Amino acid sequence: MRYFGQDNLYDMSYDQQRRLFWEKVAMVFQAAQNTLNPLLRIRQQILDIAQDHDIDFQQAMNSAKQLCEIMYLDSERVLNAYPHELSGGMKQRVSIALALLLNPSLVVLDEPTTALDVISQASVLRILNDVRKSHNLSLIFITHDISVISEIVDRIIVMYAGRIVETGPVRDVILHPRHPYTQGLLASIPPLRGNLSRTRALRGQPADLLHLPHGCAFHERCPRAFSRCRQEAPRLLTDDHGQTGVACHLYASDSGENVL
Amino acid sequence: MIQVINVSKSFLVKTTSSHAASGRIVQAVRDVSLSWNKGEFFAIVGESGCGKTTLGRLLAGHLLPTGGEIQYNGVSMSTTKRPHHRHLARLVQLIPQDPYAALNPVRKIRGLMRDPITYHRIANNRQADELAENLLQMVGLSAKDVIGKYPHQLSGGQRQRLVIARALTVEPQYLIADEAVSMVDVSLRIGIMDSLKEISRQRQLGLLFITHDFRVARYIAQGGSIAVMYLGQIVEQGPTEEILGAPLHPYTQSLISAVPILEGVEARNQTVVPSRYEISTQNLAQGCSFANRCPFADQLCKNKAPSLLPSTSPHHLVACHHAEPRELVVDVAEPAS
Ligand SMILES: Nc1ncnc2c1ncn2[C@@H]1O[C@H](COP(=O)(O)OP(=O)(O)O)[C@@H](O)[C@H]1O
Ligand code: SF4
Ligand SMILES: [Mg+2]
Repeated sequence: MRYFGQDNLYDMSYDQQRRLFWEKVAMVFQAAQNTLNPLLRIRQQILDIAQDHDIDFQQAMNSAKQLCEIMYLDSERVLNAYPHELSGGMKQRVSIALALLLNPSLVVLDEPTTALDVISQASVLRILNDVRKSHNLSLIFITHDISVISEIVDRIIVMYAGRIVETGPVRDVILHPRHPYTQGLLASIPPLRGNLSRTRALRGQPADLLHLPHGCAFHERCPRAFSRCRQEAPRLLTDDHGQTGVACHLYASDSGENVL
Repeated sequence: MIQVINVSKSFLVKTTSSHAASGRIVQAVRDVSLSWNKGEFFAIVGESGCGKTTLGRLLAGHLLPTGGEIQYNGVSMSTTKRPHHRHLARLVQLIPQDPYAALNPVRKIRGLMRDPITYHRIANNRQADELAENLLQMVGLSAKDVIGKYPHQLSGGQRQRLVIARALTVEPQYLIADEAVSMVDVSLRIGIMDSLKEISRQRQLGLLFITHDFRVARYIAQGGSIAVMYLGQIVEQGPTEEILGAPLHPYTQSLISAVPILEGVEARNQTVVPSRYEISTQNLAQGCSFANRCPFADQLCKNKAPSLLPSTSPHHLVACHHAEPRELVVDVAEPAS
């Protein structure tokens, strides 16, 4: 795995890895509020990160204050608070601010809004979108709910049972999903307005990675599966630029040639 | 019919301050009234901490109100003649928010299903197993696969189905589901909701579904009603399509407009998001409790609390001095092909 044309991550020394993460690549974890140290004021946690990465304390505090402003957090109050004094939405925004502290180029967010109420979620999403533009950031947003991310991401990768089953520009995938799994996922989001009759359940249980079925891992749940699906796993076929792709026998000719 | 009449519930929360006997009163539910009929589908929507779970537990008789009363087919819960709790349990069943915490981890599914059946003397052991298997099958679980397992051996979605089956063992007339799909993947939610709806329809059960998600509320309470709660009170209530199509309370409007939409498929929301994102539990002294977040608050709102009154239609109630429909949708996207 290579980041920004550097050496393979797995060949790097521990120190190089440590610098790569936070400084270039930052991560916001699921229920990130629980990754804050409950015993330290937010101010102290910022100073610890600064010390770890040899950044001037004053400079770190200044960027922290700026980030608080962007996150609609009252920096006076938040920086002096212990995590338990903040609400879930505030803690989540604090963890995002900490991730941005060292000005990374890439931020990976794992279900960053799943634990939040809808209004806090909307504010976190809007902030992420603003920061992405103002800081020229790349974001990787991991989620089980497509409806949460469609307004803020450019490209989407749909995974099933450990594999990429579909990828493309988010609008194309949402308007014209090709993989039956993507189609099923989208059909299981009840619309906020308009016709509910197209909403339907995706049948079956999520894939059990210990007992993957033969052939396409999705075939037991797939309404369009045919004989080939039970025998052979489909490959991800991409178009010329590698920008869109789907791994499904419905879109492959017999020779396995690309017919997109 | 279940009638909730001016019900309040306060908790004394001990604070860790130096005053030994000090505590803070949390008013989890404040002066809530509603009626709920057999066969009626009802969704309660609100952010976390607004009192949804407390209301559900009051309705199921797990908590006693500190004010007001709840009547079950005319029998009051707060008088000395209140229904025996076995009767109440057979009338109203609560499917709890955290299915894992509600299941004894060292009992197998067979025992977990059998316990309520034998406790309520609904059937003997042999019939109990048959009943249990039918119910498991009905909620979409393969009885022979799960009956010999422990709760931790089931997936989250299966556990949720199990607690639904378990609530049905006593043949209740009313079901309360507290955030029944919140911990479950989006891909499995519709399946669980469809089972709940189908079973409730077949058995003419009243179904009260507690959720923080308007998409879920609309799907489950299709043709029924929605009540929106804020800081322990109902601020708006009415037929599901009216609440979603023409919400009148600024809080309902901000909740609906905050739902992320499917870009390109659904109409985009204009944001009526309140200026402050965090619920503050202070500031309940007077005036509208939403005033410190509301973009339309004026002096009247700060001085006088609005009452929940009929508005555009007799069944559409709202508590706001400036209740009016507001444009939430910006542009209507072309429908998906
Ligand atoms: N047993 C209890 N003791 C003290 N406070 C409680 C208790 N149950 C609920 N509360 C408080 O009451 C309020 C409403 O809680 P709850 O009904 O769980 O809300 P919701 O389900 O809408 O998230 C919260 O402030 C909560 O902390
Ligand atoms: S009463 Fe006033 S403060 Fe309360 S919701 Fe209505 S407009 Fe806003
Ligand atoms: Mg709750």
